[in-house]
Amino acid sequence: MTSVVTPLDPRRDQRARSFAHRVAPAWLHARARGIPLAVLGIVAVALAAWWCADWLVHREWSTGADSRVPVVAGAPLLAVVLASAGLGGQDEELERSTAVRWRVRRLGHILGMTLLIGCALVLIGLWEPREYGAFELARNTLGFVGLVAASAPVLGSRLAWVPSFAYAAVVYLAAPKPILTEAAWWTWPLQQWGADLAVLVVVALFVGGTALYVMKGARPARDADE
Amino acid sequence: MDRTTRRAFRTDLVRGVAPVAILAITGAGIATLFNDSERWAGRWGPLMEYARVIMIVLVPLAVAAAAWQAGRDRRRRTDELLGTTPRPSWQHVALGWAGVTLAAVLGLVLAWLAGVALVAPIATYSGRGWWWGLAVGALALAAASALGTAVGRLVPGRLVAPLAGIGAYVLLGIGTYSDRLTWLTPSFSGATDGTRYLPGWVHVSQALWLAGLAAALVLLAAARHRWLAAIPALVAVTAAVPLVATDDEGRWRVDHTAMAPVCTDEGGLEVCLARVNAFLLDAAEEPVREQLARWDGVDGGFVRAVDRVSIDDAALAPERTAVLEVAHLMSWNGEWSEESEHGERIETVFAQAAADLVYRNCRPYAGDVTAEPAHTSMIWAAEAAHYWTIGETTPLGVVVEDGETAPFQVLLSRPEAEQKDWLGRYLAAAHTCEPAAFDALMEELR
Repeated sequence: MTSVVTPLDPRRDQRARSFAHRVAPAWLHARARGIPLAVLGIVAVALAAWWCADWLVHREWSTGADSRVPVVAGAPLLAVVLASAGLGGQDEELERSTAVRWRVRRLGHILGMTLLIGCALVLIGLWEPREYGAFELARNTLGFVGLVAASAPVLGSRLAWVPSFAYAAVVYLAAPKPILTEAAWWTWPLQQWGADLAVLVVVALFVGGTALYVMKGARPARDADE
Repeated sequence: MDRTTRRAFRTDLVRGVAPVAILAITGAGIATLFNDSERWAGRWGPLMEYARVIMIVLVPLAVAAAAWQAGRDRRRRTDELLGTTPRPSWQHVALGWAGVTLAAVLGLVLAWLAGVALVAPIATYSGRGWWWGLAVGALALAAASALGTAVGRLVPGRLVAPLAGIGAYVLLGIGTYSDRLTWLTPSFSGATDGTRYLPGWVHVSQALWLAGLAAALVLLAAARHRWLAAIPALVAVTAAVPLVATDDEGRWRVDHTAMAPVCTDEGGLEVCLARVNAFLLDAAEEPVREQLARWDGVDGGFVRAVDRVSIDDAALAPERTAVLEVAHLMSWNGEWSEESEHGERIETVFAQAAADLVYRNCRPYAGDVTAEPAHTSMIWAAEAAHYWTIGETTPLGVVVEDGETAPFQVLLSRPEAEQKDWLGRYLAAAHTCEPAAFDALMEELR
């Protein structure tokens, strides 16, 4: 004899309520932080980066894999800037007064955005992963996430993009050409995967930035955000 | 400008994004300008050109700063309150734009003034028309600020400022990849050696294009009747047409005054540098003469050295003349460099001149360096002459298998008279370009 589960089954009702209890607030939180829009933006950035990388490599006078340097530096920067708005709430001080384990949630934010951006960009860089491809895109994602995370407690989530943006803009032009591995400690966004120093700096940035953000959170804005 | 407007402008300058913009643009400008200072030190024209190269960084910063400033009313939720005041809203927007523009231009000027410290004390040529290029750079920042103002005012969102900045960066990057569209961007893809200049019509067209663009964008952001933006937009488009339609040959012109040789010929060995590089002459004279002296006794050997930029075509250089890339030995502050950051020394520059005789006269690759040379002995002979000039049996970067001897090592191991005899015949072969002569030269070094 088979059992028939009716809509009024209390076990199912409990499960549904439990699911709603867990998912609905998370969805609300994600919406409040603009995450769905950021996800769409990240997908758009990944697709645009794919097209740009292909165009740069196949245009006349292309120097090969080196041509992808602007994409390898720019795509993670743009994706991280898009996601950075979600590092702070509409009213940080009000949010912090709620009974929520904010440190765990902040860690989730950082790991989630790193994973999402990393996966989206790694997928588009798989043709030549070690020559300005997936490896470098993943490394730069970690580096820019670390920079943005370290900036949020100091400048707030609205301005957390400023240091990464200014840094990338200057490094792209100021880095010695051809790119020297000795300068990897400050030219890490432009280095090939083989530059160990670049990886070390990026890991330090990511760990330091994440720790700072998890402990302190984004600096509350002086006035209510739009 | 009345008193109230002046006060509002001053407040915008002090309390708005302007102070941060000045710091960011000056800092970024100096960092990027001085990173490659050997490309412009001591020369006014290349300094301006490099100031235009770094526009690819300064313009996005100005766009982002202006977009941030323009979004202020929305962020502070004061746009309705401001709408109730009798002051027209365009004045408020225009003042915000003017503040960011002033900050950005001040940032550019401060960075440029820092560069002047490496040019003014030593420059031997005042340049030609470079100040117009700098003025166009300032107009470009006004246009960038107008773009940021329009985007920040018309598009709501927390990330409008960085996205507008990064968007400007991408657009400029794509523009500089295109031979024609690059002239619509304020950014140059590189600096010349100081012997080229842009004619007035290019500066005027770029100025009109950028000023028209700036006016159109400010009107779009601020004016009640937005259709008015069409008038300056029309001016901008009209000015853009000749910029896009002209070939590169129609733009950069040769500055013969900058190329004019400045020479010293004490002791019979003449050293000439282009006027634009003549500030190096005193320091270059002795090391160049030492190199020339090594060719003493070589039949047809070099008796004079000239700066590559002082002659239109190296193939037309007088007999027995070494054509040197003097700019390779310029240090970051415009002084003579014993060894550049890329490892160049006077020996390597001279060695290149010795090998270039074959590459220039005989064209062993026939214009395609990826192809197999028609006569490999030409290449090997040029290489032997190259390393003889450097004068080291184990030069840096050259790998010779154990138990083997490279042709240049064979040459260097011979008595000096034999070496010079070989070089005399090498120079003769470089003039006749007879493959058999090169084959014979290389046969001797087996």
